[in-house]
Amino acid sequence: MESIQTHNFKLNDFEGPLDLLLHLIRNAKLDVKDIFISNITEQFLAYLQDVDALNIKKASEFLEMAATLLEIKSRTLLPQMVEEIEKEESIENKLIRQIEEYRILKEAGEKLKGLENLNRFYKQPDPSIKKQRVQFKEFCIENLLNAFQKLSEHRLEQRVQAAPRIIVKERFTVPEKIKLMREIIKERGSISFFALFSKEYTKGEIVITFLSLLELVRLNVIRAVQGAVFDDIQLQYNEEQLMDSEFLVFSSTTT
Amino acid sequence: MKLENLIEGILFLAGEGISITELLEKLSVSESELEKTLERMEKKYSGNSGIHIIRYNEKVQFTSNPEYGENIALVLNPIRERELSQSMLETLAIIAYKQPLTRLDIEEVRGVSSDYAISNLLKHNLITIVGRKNTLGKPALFGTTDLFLKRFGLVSVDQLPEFATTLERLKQIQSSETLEAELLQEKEFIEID
Repeated sequence: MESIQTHNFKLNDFEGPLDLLLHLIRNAKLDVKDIFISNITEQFLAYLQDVDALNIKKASEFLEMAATLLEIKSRTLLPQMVEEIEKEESIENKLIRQIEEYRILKEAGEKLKGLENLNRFYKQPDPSIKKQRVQFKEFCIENLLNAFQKLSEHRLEQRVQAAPRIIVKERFTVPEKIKLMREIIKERGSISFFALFSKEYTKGEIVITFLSLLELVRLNVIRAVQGAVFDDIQLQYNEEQLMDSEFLVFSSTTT
Repeated sequence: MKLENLIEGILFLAGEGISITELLEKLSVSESELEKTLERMEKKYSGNSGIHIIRYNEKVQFTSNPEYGENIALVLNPIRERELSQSMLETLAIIAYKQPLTRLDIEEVRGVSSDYAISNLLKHNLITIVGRKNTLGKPALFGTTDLFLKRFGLVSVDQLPEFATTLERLKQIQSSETLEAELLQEKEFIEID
């Protein structure tokens, strides 16, 4: 067994599995396309001893790469029994392309860093300058309903054109959706009405989303603002809302 | 009234960048006259001058001389940006050279999840949503902002270091995929051993 030289870096020093691979390749002074003729895979796995099992996200990214490397390596070791008729590119080439692209852009990033300038300051415009200001007009519930109807019709058209399919259970309930939307809008400050509806939503899910939206507007948790008729509607988190006890009771009944 | 002095006053009040087109429209001067004036001003506001002029994305703006940045900060304490972290820089470079592209595209290049970097770059206004891709879910497309140009001293995106060559190299990598696919199709007819 070849001995893997002890490494000086920790896994955390790397931006991700591609970064680590690139480092190993550079160290070994190899061409990217030669990685599988070397022991880069073994070196990569040696680094993985470091992986912090508690940081699942990071661990999974490295593990996925390890699995890919092992698959490629094992294919080169096993005798080719059947010439596979692959319509797609081999995993090996896909990985090599990925590494090359990453390398190019990583170098570009380093050059970019050289240009970074933090010592320039700018003046704000003089406050006496009048600019055209965009004012969103408050609007009435009717406009909201019209927007919903437009959305609904659009979706219905699409559904009619689609082939018959299985009816699936809705993925969320109204209380769940209310909770989720409240968090999203609170975090983002403001969100477009149409952005709340994924193209994949069933009709039931569209209705649930809309009902949740109405409830949040009713409870004054969010405000809805629209520029002109048929324009997009912006939903803004209402910072000044009072803690409505009714709302608290409602949200505590969510499972 | 000299055009140069007039523009000095305008730039001072405007603070933020003013577009060349707006100057041309509102001042009714010829493009060449404006251009010559701006070139003279660029020479005047350079070197040791405390005020510099920068041009980016067809706009022009006054800025403080970066050499004096430290001392200016001592006196006035304006908000100073921190250096970008490695992962943000990587993500930013990817977006700068490959814009517009989606979050998924970015993650494919980096090989890791990029939510954090993207949201930070958005927060710092170095990137913004420039449109939506016409596929399932209508994912947002990201591109760089004017602030990005200013921060890295670029007049426009194609002034990125080795912009043309980098794009060319990236294209070559993409096209080798199609080459590979063609080669594989030929392989279909090879005898099984």
